[in-house]
Amino acid sequence: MTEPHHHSPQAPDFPQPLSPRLERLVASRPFQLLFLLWLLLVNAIYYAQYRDLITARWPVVRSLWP
Amino acid sequence: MALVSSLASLLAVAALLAVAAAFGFRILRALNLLPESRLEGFLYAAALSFSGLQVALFLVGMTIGVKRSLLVALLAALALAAGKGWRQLGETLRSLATFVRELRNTRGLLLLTVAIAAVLLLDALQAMAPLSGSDALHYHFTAPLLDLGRTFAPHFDLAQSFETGQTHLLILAGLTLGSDHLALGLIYLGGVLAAGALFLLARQLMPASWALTVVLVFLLTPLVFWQMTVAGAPDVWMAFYTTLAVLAAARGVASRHHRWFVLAGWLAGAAAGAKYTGWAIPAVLVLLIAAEARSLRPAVLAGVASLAAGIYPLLRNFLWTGDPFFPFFARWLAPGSVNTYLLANFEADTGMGTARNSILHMLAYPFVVVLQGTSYGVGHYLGPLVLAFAPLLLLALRRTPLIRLTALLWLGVLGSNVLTSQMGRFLLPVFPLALALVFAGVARLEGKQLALARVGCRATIALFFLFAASSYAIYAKDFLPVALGLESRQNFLFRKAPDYRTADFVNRQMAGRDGAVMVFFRHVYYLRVPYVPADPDKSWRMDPNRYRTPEQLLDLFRQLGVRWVLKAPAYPEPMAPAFEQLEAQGRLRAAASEEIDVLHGWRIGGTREPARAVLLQVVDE
Repeated sequence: MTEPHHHSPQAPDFPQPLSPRLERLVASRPFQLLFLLWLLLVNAIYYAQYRDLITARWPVVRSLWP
Repeated sequence: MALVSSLASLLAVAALLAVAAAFGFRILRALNLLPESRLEGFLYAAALSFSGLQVALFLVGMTIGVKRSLLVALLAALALAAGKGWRQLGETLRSLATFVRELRNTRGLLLLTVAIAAVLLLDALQAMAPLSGSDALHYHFTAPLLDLGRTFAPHFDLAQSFETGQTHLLILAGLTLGSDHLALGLIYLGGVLAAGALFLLARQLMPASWALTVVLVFLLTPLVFWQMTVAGAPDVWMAFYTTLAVLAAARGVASRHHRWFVLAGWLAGAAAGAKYTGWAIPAVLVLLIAAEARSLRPAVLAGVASLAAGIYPLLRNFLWTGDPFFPFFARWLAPGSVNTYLLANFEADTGMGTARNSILHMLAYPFVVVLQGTSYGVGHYLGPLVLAFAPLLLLALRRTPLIRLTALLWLGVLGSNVLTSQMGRFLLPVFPLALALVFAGVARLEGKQLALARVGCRATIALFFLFAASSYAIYAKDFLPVALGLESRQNFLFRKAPDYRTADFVNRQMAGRDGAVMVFFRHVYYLRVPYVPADPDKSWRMDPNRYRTPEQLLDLFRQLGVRWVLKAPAYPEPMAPAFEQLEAQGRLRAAASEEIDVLHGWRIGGTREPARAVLLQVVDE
């Protein structure tokens, strides 16, 4: 993807290489699976807050909500 | 007609921005503070001018009062003084046009830019709906309205007026120039400028496509679109000043020129001048500057600039009450006049004193503020993305001054929020910093063998866009019709503005009657007759411990020129017996009554309850 540069401000702080150890850690399958689990958890708990609001507006959603 | 009026107000806001930017360019050039990036220069220019205008209006307001002729003359003088600044503004606009032309070649960027433009356009229209935000109708707009054209004076009956800061001077400017639409337009402008500052920051940490994605996320975040459109609160300006302050401080570290630290300090002070809790921003930034520059001198310069930019509301409060953070420190600084009833109510309202301060709870705060937002000052309105992508800070946190400043300022303000109010919405000033950092981590997943994590992030962002767009649509459908002229102003206000029916009843019934009316409802902005707000939860004067008997109330009526009392539907609980005795004694006599319905809870809930409003005449023989 090419980037228009006219509005690029100061010299960007990226890309800077990650340390090899960090690179290996984040590329590892356990890290990725843990991160996916984390995303799932945060999304599930976050959107559950809107359950009452959503089901009140669209009752049909009630049957779909966990 | 409504659409024409909306467009005219937006054009006026654009004209104000042009004058501010042109004049700001002139100042930046004089101070040798013009960066090579035109967008960055434009934002510094706007920030300097608007923050300077706020200070000027504050000083004028405290001495002779802000009058329309004076404000128009001041703006005309700024436009003339801008001189070559106009040329730089023209060059910035040409550069923007080139940027947009180049986007045509890159479909992804074009799509994101069109989406951002569409959201900004819809935001602009919603901001033109008549004022209906609860806090705005109580004090954000009411206090400036009471000060319109007059020398500023304390409003003890509207205790939250002491919490108004320098960004409220932009509301005053809008009202002075003619309408609350203009004032709302200026608040919206703060959001647009904050989005621009976020783009600048993000652009230094990630490619353009991600920087634009972050801007779109920011604009669609419920807290942001609510604050920059219909809330009627100027806090979004704090996000603008804070983000730019970080950028200026990073420039100071890179260039070793102290003037950048002064600019950073000034901008942080401008953010602090908006709200008590904002003082965490310069406090933390000054410490960071000392650490980054490894010298006290730039930190002291930044600190002095912060005070020069934002100290005025604290001085005002000190002058009027002896407590710069009135009423929160009044029990120590002005113990003789403390209204303990109201103070307890204020502390509960702002989280002060009710924040849960066990170590375990403080550690949990960054999670619960978003995941149980209803208990933490609508923290869930910040969206889930900062928390969801927080583990990716591992990838984002590099040892560069900009990242250190961004991360530590965010952390410092989060820390102060935990220790004081534990109100999620007070994190708005540093929300762009948090978003830029976590998205720097997300952007780093690109081009690596991290397929699972990448898919997870993209799904999370897609889910957020779906949620945010739906929330936005639900909100917008209530506010767009009136801005477009498809719904009458009166109908909209009856439907959406809390207590509007009550204010309308009072305005009609009091027409042609002498004396002030005592009212107990919260949203007094639309009252157009002499009134005294008397809800003991909101008025410093109405201490229930001082007004327990009918005689004490009658004395108060005489003192304030109150000849009418509105009961709609009941008197405030701690003082009800005294008022009811006055009724029983025939010293409060019903003069008019009407069935009204009262909006309960949040506007978006739309819950209404019938009530009876009665206007009673004070019979004091």
